[in-house]
Amino acid sequence: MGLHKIVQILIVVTFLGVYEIATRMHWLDSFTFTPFSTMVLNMVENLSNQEYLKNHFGITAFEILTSFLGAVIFGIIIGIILWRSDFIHHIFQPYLMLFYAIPFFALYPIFISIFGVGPFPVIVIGLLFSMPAVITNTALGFREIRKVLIKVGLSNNLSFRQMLLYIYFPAAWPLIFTGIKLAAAYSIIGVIATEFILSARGIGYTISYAYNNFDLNGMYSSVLLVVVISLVVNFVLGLIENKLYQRNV
Amino acid sequence: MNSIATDQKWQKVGRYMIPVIILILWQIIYQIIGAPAMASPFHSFVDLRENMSKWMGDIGNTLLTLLISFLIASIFGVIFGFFIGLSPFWTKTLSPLLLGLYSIPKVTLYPIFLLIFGLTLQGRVAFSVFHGIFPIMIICMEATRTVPNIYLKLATSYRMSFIQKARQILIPAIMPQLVVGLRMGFSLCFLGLILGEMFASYEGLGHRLVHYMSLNEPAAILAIILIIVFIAFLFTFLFLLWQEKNEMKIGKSKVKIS
Repeated sequence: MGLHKIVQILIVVTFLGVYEIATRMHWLDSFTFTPFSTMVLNMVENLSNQEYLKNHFGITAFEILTSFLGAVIFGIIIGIILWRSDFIHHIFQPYLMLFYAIPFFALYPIFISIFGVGPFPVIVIGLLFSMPAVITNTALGFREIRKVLIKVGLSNNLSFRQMLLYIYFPAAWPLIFTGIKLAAAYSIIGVIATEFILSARGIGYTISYAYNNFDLNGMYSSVLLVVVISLVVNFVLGLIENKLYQRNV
Repeated sequence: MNSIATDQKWQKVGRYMIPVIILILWQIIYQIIGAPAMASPFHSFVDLRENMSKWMGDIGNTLLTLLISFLIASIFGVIFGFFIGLSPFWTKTLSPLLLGLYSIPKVTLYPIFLLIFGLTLQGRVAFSVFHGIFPIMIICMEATRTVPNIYLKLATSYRMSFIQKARQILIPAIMPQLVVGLRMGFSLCFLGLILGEMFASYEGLGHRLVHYMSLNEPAAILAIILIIVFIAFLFTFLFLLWQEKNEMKIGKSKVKIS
């Protein structure tokens, strides 16, 4: 274990420790902050509550997973189109840059009238929010394959399908995976933010509901749950990503 | 040569066709869904023109808040990023923590800002800064860390002081990437601000949006979305121009975070 790992852990632990002590000793306003240990206990309690699991956690997990999978599938397909056709690539290039500048959440009421109430509009927002990362990284990954690899494939007389399977995908995979990792983070953000502001279900909704009802414990426990989910997902995907880059170098 | 020129012409045409296609799609969706739930592009533009003077205050408010928070985010982001980036050890130590903070859905933390600041301008500015500072910091840090060694050797061999080194070598070297980071930071500040205004505020574009949502006036909702998208595109476009200018001067940047 390197020195920087130890310092990292020290920073996190000190921060949480100081926060815990400050709230326990009432240095911080107890109407604004609750101790970290209380947050953890409440989170565990929430997670053992069947209704919370089914109505909020389950729905959020379903929405995140669906929008993430949709973003990966559509993103890779569109990315491949942008890679094969220079024309379409040039047309869409500037718009992809602008994609993140649009607050998609604003479209939620419109999506409700198009798709009806239910998880679908939330999924669409999460998907739109996370897809550009996959598209750009897929197109970039395929476009930046080293020429020598393609030449090897061509000199072996591979068909296009074989090229895709043995040359293109393995070579572009690390960059595509970076896109997928970003998409996971973005679909979590998109889904939870939409629930938080506008929906009537899901973990995001429980936070705004608790806030509006001055239920500090409920609010902090759901916030902590969201943070834990996104950190865990990010950490696991980051580990896989590191492995991929190490193998390919 | 000639075929390349015609290709470029068609690409230009194609680029301008995208908004037209979106407008047509919008009209088609309107035809399918019908009036009470959706508004046609025409209605929305009429609504936009009629209400523009009424919305001016909210637009100004949002723009002012955005500018303040973006200024704070960029100043602090650049300073922190720059000084962390100077030390390889701290870059390696802090970057996973910063990336982790960057990846969490920060909207859910907005209630905490509300509890601390109340429904004030400061609260919105603080949240918007928090929402947008991380990409600026991370990219600035990475850019400073990856300044080519030969530049630093040049600085040493000229016996430059730290200030001279920063002014003549480090800052110009990180500039192209920094502009990319500032662009992303700006988009995120704007997104955070709109989200904050939508959740709880009594002024600003986000507040208007939620207001019309509760009244169920699709024409007004779409008109406000048009304004928001226009603001976002305008500033992103300015940043892209700046980026292009920098790239012409110094060379293309290679930033991995998209």
